[in-house]
Amino acid sequence: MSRDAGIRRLSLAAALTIAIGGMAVGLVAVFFWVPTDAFQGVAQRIFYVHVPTAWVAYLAFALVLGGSVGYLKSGSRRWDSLARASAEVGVLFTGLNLLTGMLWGRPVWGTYWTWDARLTSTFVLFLVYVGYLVFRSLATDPTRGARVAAVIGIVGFVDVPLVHFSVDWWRTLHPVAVVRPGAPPQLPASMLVTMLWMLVVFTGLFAVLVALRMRLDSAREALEEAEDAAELEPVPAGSLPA
Amino acid sequence: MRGGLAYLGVAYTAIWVGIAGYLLHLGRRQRAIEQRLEELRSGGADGGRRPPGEHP
Repeated sequence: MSRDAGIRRLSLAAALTIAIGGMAVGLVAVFFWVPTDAFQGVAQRIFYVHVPTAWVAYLAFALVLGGSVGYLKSGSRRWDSLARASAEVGVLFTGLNLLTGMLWGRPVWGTYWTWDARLTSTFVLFLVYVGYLVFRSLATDPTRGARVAAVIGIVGFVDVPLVHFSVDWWRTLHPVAVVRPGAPPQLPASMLVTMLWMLVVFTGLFAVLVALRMRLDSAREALEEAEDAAELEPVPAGSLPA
Repeated sequence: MRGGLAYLGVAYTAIWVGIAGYLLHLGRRQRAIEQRLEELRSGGADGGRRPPGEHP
């Protein structure tokens, strides 16, 4: 391993450790500091992971948009790698957001799912980026595949503002945001601080996951170059882990 | 809010399992590629064959 690669690996390990430590502090706050909601009971504590997963999903798909535009403009594989990594992590967090929302909805609304504007548009967002990843994995021509995926990544972002403002534009079972720019927060200080802390921690975790996913692309690129240099034949399918 | 604790437990477990599972998945893929690269560089016995699914 080169010195640079060693430093990168150490930095990522340190960042991951900090994120996990931050998460532990957040959990202590969630379970031992913030008060229990008078109406929703303990289930309301799902809020502290539900909102950060939504925020990370928005951030991830904004980076897919940025990476896609950057790739179409420059043709650089780094931009494409950023878009792909962000899409993968974004899909993970959107899935977790949908799941935690359902688990919160059941005790509070009496149902896991309802086709209201927020839930439906989030589900569509999930499907768009799952489609993006499926398309990428099936594309036979990498360059053409990356270009088409970039267009999907740009068009798909249209759903993000739709998801965010759906609770304002339509009548939904899902509540409106409790923290809005320019308005006083409708939360006690301990709840607000804990939620903001979890937002920061999830953002850090997201950054680490994207960096690890991009590192995988770099390693793959190095492997391709090494194989091309050696002018060797591909291995039969199924003989190595995918 | 009967059963709220159970929903809370499942939600937090799902979060950690999801994130930890993805981390393990990335680590496994990374190790497979690095091992292959190492074999290539050291001129291993089956040297140079491309792992399936590792195209860009």
